[in-house]
Formats: sequence, C-alpha cells, structure tokens
Amino acid sequence: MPIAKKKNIRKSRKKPLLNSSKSVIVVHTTENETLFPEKVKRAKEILSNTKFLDR
Amino acid sequence: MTYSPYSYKMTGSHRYTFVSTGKIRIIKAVDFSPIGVENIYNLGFGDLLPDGSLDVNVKSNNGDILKVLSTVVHITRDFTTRFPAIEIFFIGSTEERTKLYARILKMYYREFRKEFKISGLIQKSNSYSAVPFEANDAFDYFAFLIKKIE
Repeated sequence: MPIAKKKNIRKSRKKPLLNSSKSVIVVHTTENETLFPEKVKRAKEILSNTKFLDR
Repeated sequence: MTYSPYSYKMTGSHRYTFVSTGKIRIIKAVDFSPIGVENIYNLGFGDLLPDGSLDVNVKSNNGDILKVLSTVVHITRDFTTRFPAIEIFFIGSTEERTKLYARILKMYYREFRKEFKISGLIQKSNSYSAVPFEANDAFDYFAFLIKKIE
C-alpha cells in the first residue's frame, strides 16, 4: 500500500495589530472638536501677535 | 508635487485620514480647525495611534515623507477648493520640520503660486509679521498661511 504524501502545510503567521487592516481605530472627538487642541491654541497666540503686511 | 499621493478619505467636514504604507502601516489624520481668527483655520497633522490618541510630534521615519507631504498638499487643495474663503495656517511641530516645509514651498513655488496665495510669518522678538512668501528670499519663516486663489 503506498504511503500517503505528507502535505506541506504552512503555519499561518498572526499579523501584528499595527499592520492588520482589521485594527479598530477610535478617535475620541466629535465633529466640532479639533484633534489638535494644543496646536490650535498656539496658532491663535501667534496670529494674535501677527501684523499682516501683505494685505 | 510630483510625488503621487496616498489615497485619502474625508471623515468629517474638516477632517481627513489616509494610510502611510512605508516600512510599516501608519494611519495619518489631517484636521482643519477654526482658530478663532476670522476665516483662518489651523492645519493639524499627526499619527493616529492604536489606542485612538494622536501623536503630533512623532517622527515616524516610515521612509515615505515626501509621499506623505504630497498627500497633505492634495488634501489641503481639496479642503480649500471646498472652502475657498478659508485661509490655512500651518507650522511644523519642530523648527526642523518648519524648515522642511519652507524648503518644499520653495521647491514647488512655481506650481503652488498658480493655485495659492502664500504668506510667511517672520518672527521679530515677541511679535510676527505676515509677508508674501518668496522662493528666493532668505527669511527663516516661522509659520505659513495659504489661501486658494479664487
């Protein structure tokens, strides 16, 4: 009786979460909130001390 | 810019995301937020971390900086086409990053100026002056303002 050939089964590698297309990203802001409050605050400080010479 | 951008999606009226696929996969967020100065919005840009927080100071070193910046330019073009009255303020998270933005604005100035009015902010002690951006000047610009030419 012939011996059945052992199938070459590759082990599936589990992808790291960061590389997975199925990773779930939750951003805890609403539509009207900025994602970058510190940058917005800084921008306001800079622009309130800015002279507009080009207009 | 000659670099082809990543495809992006608008995830809110003032917000976009795209995926940087350099060495690793990184989700990037671009957000345009009102500053409280009439018709001027801040351009915020950073990495969306798996816990849902954002890192604006991260140096991703993902090997695709020019493709990422090209995508941000395309997103800015899309946003300012939708809202042409809005002027966009942007500044690097570090001095080095601001200098990189200045180099790119200078490099692609002939292309950008067809579409945008560009101003540079120059620091004078504790105040700033917004002047027309020129590709040949030697100013160390502190920040930038761009507005779609209507």
